[in-house]
Formats: sequence, structure tokens, C-alpha cells
Amino acid sequence: MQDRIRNFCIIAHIDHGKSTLADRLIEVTGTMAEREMQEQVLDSMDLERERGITIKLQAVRLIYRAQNGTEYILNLIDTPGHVDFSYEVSRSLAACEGALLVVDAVQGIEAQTLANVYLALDSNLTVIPVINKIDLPSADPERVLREIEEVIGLPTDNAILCSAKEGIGINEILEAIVREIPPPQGDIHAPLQALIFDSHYDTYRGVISYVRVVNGSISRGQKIRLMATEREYEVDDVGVFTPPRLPVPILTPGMVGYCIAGIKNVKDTRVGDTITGATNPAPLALTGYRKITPMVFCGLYPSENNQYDELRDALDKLKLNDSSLIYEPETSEALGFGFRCGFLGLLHMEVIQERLEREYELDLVTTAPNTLYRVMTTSAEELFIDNPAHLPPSNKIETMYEPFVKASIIVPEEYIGTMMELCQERRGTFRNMEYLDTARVVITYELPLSEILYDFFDQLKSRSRGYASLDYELIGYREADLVKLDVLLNGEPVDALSCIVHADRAQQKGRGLTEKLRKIIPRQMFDIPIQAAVGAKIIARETVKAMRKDVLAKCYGGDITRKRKLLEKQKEGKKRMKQVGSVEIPQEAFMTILKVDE
Amino acid sequence: MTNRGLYIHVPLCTSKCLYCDFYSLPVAEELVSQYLDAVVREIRLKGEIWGGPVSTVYFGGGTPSCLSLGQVATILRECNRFFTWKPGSEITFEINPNRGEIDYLRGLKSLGITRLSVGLQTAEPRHLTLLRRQHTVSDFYRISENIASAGFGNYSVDALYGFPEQTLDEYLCTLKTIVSAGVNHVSSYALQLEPHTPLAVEVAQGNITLPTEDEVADMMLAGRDYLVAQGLSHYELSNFAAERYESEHNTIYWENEQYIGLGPGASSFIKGRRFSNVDNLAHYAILLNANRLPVVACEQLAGLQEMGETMILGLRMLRKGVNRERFHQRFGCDCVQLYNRVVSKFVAQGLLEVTAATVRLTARGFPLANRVQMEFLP
Repeated sequence: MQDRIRNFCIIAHIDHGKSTLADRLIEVTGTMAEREMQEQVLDSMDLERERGITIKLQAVRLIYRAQNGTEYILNLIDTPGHVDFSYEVSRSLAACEGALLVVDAVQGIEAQTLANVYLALDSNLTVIPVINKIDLPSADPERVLREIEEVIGLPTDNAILCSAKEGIGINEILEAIVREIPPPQGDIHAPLQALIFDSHYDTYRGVISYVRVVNGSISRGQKIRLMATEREYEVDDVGVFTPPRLPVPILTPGMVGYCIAGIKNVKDTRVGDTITGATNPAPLALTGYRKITPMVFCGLYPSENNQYDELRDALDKLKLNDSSLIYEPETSEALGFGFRCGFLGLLHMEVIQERLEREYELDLVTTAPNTLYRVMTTSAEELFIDNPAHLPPSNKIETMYEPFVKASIIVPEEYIGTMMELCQERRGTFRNMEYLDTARVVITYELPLSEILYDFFDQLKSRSRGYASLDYELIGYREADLVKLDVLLNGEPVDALSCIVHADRAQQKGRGLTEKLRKIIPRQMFDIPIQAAVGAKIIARETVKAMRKDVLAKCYGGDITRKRKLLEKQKEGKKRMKQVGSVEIPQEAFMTILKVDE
Repeated sequence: MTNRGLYIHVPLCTSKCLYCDFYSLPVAEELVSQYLDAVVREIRLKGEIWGGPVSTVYFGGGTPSCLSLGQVATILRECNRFFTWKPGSEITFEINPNRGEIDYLRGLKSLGITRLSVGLQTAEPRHLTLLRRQHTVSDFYRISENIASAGFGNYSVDALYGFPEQTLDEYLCTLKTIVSAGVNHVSSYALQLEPHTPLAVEVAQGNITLPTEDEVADMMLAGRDYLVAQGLSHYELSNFAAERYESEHNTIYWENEQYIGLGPGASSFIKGRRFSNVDNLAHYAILLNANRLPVVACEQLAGLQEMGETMILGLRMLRKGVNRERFHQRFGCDCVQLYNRVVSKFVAQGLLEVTAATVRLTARGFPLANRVQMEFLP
């Protein structure tokens, strides 16, 4: 049985055709009838389909009769392609023995592909290069094969040329999976060890864990133990993904499937944990994943205070299958009760916000994101600050450190200048530049992470007409001359508008911020001074003048309803604003800092 | 019985003004006769149900002066079969300055019209063109003269401010022209940018820029000062009148009393229910031909809603304000007590004043009326 299983994932850059290829593999193996297939089966979240990205892991079991006449079970575990989600990638890699490296025959290798393929090679996976989109007139598979050999150092004798769209090369890929990727190791008679690589919450069945069995077996009625929490449960159901869940009697070594065990509390299952037997437990848990620390933080507040509990429940549920999300309650004078949330990156933050708003129908106010700062106080205490409002007063700070990243940007050579300009503007230090081929280069810079948070990716894309791709990795903390910039409205500091900036930029940022706020904050019954301050020193000031006129014209022909609706609309708009002292602030003001042009 | 108004809507216009988003029809013979037939049916149908005494009649539009004397006579005659009014009751007719022929005006007078409301909007020729008004400034001089000759003592003019390219001086100049024409009532109101109007399109395309909030506020305040100095009282947010010349019909709206609206798109308020007619003439005619009320929206006001609207509308009247005694008679409670929190907040801010008889906006409060009024919404 075990030698007829192959577990693999697909590594690809966004738009290089991973989802289409997955669809084709599902179709060719007859896993789903064509009419059951919705385009791009694996991207099951609305959000994923709309944005054309994969965020969450998905798994599907394919049954394939190979040319040698034997039937194989191929488990495909999907991987996200975006820089923020390397954590998810490392999870799917841990459940596989092999990977398809899909590269677009026109675009060639992109920054994120590089990062993920190195992860796969580090995890000792067998990597099969697949050049996709060879049907396009501008396809240049020879060049791309050379790139793979020269840049990654991966031999390409076994590479497959394909067009997922046209269905070319699909059988060759399936044969290569069977031939090249080793079957899973593992002993069915050893104590149970199954890796939880994902999970989600089902209202009717409780927690559904996605597992890969390494040793032993798991079946209905079995008593299991979660090794991290040491809690025990009885298995209700096990099965595989076809992609719909299909119950099977037993999961044996190498198998990928699901396990339902009446676990009601989201916090009791941890992705990366090992399931073992309650009797005859394994002595050691499996190695989990490379733990990634969230580096981007922002405050999430319900815009209606009575939605606080709903927000907490929603975060609990998202956390279940996104262990990289962290959050803890915080209180803001301006925004009330909410959560300080930590994310892997900006896209991760946006995705979580959108899921909260769409799937949980929450209306949120978000504060501008910041990184995690390290502070040494004058009393030699080390602090990590995830909220600018919590920064100690400057006379208590000995030194401050901010996280730096090594950023790799792959770009056609005509954009080298503009890319370097962008990185210099963002306090970057040039490290290296290498030609991938005659036309494309990898530029390496070291940058403060905080500079990447503010509009960096959009700038990168727009200044390179969409050609640049970016990958970054944290390289540690560095000392920096940082200050806290406070915003005062009507003389009162607004905690949720504070930010930490480089001292040299404070003046500029303060001016930009006050100016932007003057445009966003509507006129009210009195003049509202807007001040930016560093410590006690005011560095910029603007005023929102008092409102002078707010009157509806006459009632034409007694159409009172129309008038009333206008007033109701106005009142609704007023209600959506946050009251801070005597000032009403529109919700978008709290994200203003992101959009300050410098 | 309290006051009750009768409103007749005439959705005809020779052309569409730049800023207008009301349903209107071009003046074509078959459309006019279709309108006339249908409105007569509506008078009969509504007359059967709600006939009886009314205290005012108002022809509004659109452009009622697109109708001939004979057509006006038909409507009034039909109304009179079901609705009655005392001699001398206020019967207003909205008229465009280009219908100032003395015979037309004398004819209206003999039909019983007592009050004319002239849609001048601006006395600056450049602006008349810009706004796509179909009259000239000399039309206005002529109609003013003839209104006096025809013997109308009750004469109101509309003036618009805050539209593109208009300066404060030009607006004051328009007001001066109006006051010199011998009016005793002025409706002066700020342009509101309505979506889907030709103006909104021009503004969105950047061809036209609207004046700033401050410029509009300056016009509102300076215009008010000027009209008050000319002896007109600022009795309602956008209306000014000489002593005893306040609009009785509009006062019915502001006092949240009952009115019956006739014609496509007209609104009615009867016994706590708001109705509105379908605004499309063809649909309106089909329903009436089938002997059905042409009503498309009907809303029964809940208690708090009706009280809130009574406050919101009453606050438009800057002298009378909300009559506490009448509010008490109507709803069985004192409005100052009922809205205690809101009222005391605005009194403290100097935007409202409360006397034994009334609650009203102060001179500081009227420019910010919406801010106050919205707090009375349920």
C-alpha cells in the first residue's frame, strides 16, 4: 500500500499557473467529473479566487493508473505563493516527499519561487521542474531551463514542458511524480505519529484536522492524544479529500486525510502538533515547523463596540487554521476595546481583515500597521513594543532597535535605476546585484521592515510597470534613531494615531500626516487644531475650520420623506465616526499614516 | 379641523435646467392632454375619499405656467367639485418669468389665483444661460410690472445661490433686483448637487467647479442680512416675507399638517400616512384609467417618527419654531421633556432656544440646522 502513495506539492509564483495545473491533474485522473469542477478547485475561498492567490492550504487525493498498470494514490497539497505565507509553505513541505517547481515559460523565475524552492531543497524534497505556458508565442523554455540550472543549481534533465491550459504534458507530469518522488517511509506497527498540517472549524462537526500519518495508523473509535496539549479524544471519523471529504476506515503511514474527534475548542488543536495514541503513545513528537514570528502589528477594533465578542470569536476561528495569526486584547482611548494583532506581512494583514469583514460580517476599524520594536531602557530592561502608544517616554529609552530585512528584487535591467532609487528613499543599504540572464537582475538591499510596510510593494510594482517581484527575509534588529510621533486633536493626544518614525523623517511625516488629516476630518461645530508632536515639541499644525453651513434647501412639493432620508443618511455617516473627546473622526483616518506621501 | 393643503403637481417643462433632477416632460400636445385627463381622474378618485374643505391650493412643478388658462381652469373646476375653500384662500401658482403676458396674468387672477411664485433664480444673464433657464432678465421686469397691473398683491420670487461661477456680489445684485420689483416674499435657497443631473456630470468631469462651503456660507449670511435689512423677515430657513405674507401652504408642510398631492410624483400626508404618486406619466395614466390610486409608496408613521418629523419640520420655522402647546395637543406630551437630552445639549451650545411657547433655532443655530434636526430622528 505505502509504496503506491506519493505526496507532493506545487511551488509556483502567482500567475504562473499553479491552480490551472492542479485543476488539470484533478481532471485527467478523473477525480472529479468535469461538470463538478468549478474553475480552480483548490482556491476555495472567495477571496482567493478573486485575487488569484492561494492563501490557505488545501489537499486533494488523486487516483492515478500509471503506464506500468499500477494504481497510485497521489496526494496533492497546495501551497500559497506569496511572500507573506512562507510559513504555510513550510507546513505543506513537511507533509510531502516531492514538489513540482512550476515556472512560467515567458516570465521565468521570480523572487518568491526562489525562496520556496530553497525551502523545499532544504527539506530534502525531490523537486521536478515544470515549465508551464509553453503554448504562448513568447514562451522561451530554453532560457527558463537555463535559469533554473544556473540560478537554483537544479539539474533540468528531468524537466517537463507543459501547458496546463491546453492540457499538454499532463500525463508526463503524472508519470514523473510516480517515477521520481519516493514513496513515504514509516512503519504501520510503530506508535501513531500524525502531523496536523492544517485544520478548520465546522459548525456541525467541530474541529477538522488535516493530517499526514507518519507512523502507525488512525481509525474510527481510536483514543488519541494531542501531544502539545496532552488532551485526549476519541476519533469520530477519518477520511481523505477527493476534494470533498470521503470517509475511509483507516489512515496508514504516508496517507494524507482528515481526522474528526469531537474537538469543540479551537484552542485545543495546534497546527504543527502531533497526534499519537492514548495507549502506546509515541515517545517523541514530530518536528513541527519553522516557527515564524509575526512582525507586522495593527489594532483591530469593531466599529460598533457591541461587536467585540463577535470579533474575538472570529479571531479564535481564524487562528485555528492560521497559527501564525496572533492577537491579544487591547484598549484604546480613541477606539475602545479591540485587539492588537500580529501578522506575517501586509498581505496577510489585509487577508485577515477581509476575511473578518466578509466571512464574519464584522465592521472594523484598523490602525496603521507597525513592526515590532526592541527597546533597551535606561534601567537596562529589554522591551518589545508592538504598539506605538506603549513606547516608554524618551528619557527612559537608552537605545531602540528595529527589524531589518534582506530584500531581493528581481527586475528587468531597465528598471535597475528606479528600483535602487526606491530602496535608497526607504533608508536601504545596497548589498548586491547579479544578472539572472542577459536581461534580468536580482538586486539585494537591506531595508528597515517598517519601510516595506508603507506602500513599498505598490511602489515597486508601479515603478517597474508590474515587472518587479520581491522577496524578503528578516535579518535581525539594528539600532536606529527612532521617535514616537503623536497626533493631537483639539489638544488631546489620540493614542490610535501615534506612530514610530525615524527621527530624520519626523518633521516631514508630521507635516504630511496633519495635512492629510485636515482633508479627512470633516468640519465640525468648532475649530479643530491638528498637531503633530514629538515629545512636548509641536512639529506641525493644521486646523479644520468650524462648519459654517449645513442646511437642507426647501421642501419641494411637500416631499418630506426625501428630506428625512437625507438627514438619516447624514446621521448614519456621523454615527460611523469615532468620537474622541469632542471630535468626530472618520474611521479611515486611522489608516492615514499609510498614505502620507513623502 | 386643522389646516389642510391641496397640491397640484405639473411635471411639464419646456427644457431641463442644469441642476434639476425632478421628473419632467417636454410640453407636447399629446402629453399635456394625457396629463390633464389623468389628473382629472385623480382629482375625482381622491376627491371621493378625501374631499372636503382645504385651506390652501398650490400649483407647483415642473412648470405650471406651461398650462393654458383653459387647462388651469379645468383643473380648478374639477378640484372645486370635491374640495372647497373659503373665498380669499391662498391659491399659489408657480410661473416662469417668460409667461408674463398681461392677459395670462389677468386670466390667472380671474380664475382665483391669489399668489404668484416666479422662478427667477438669478438676474445675471450669464448665469441664466449657464443654468439653462429659458427666460431673460427683461422677462422678469415685464412680469413684475404686469403682476402689479393684474392686481396680485401677493408676489414671491425664487433666488438660487451657491451655483458655479456665482460671486457674492452677483448674488446680492440678484436679491436687489428682486426686492426692487415689489415682491413681498423671497425663497432663497442654496443649490444642491443632485446625482445624475447634467450639472453633476459637468462637475465630475471637472468642467465646472462648485463654490466652496465657505463661499456658500458667505452668500447665505450676506443674503439674509440684506433681505432682513429690506424689511423682510427670515421666517423659515430659506424663506423671507413681509409681515402677513408668509406662505400659508408651505406652513402646512412645516407644521406637519395634512396635504393632498395630485399629479405624477406628488406627495401626500393624510392621517399620519405619507404617500407618493408614481412619477412616470404613462404609468400614472394607466393606473388612473383602471380607476386605481396612482400611489407607489405609502408609509404609516409610527408615533416617534411623526413626533420627530414634527420637530424637524417645525425647526425650519425660525420665528414660530415648534409650537409646544400644539405638540402637546397632538401627541400628549411636551416636546421639551420628550427630547430633553437633545434640547438641553443644543440650548447649551447656543443653537436652540426654548421659551414657554416654542422651541426654535437661534441666529447661530440656523446655519447648522441639519446638525440639530438630525438628532430628532427616531
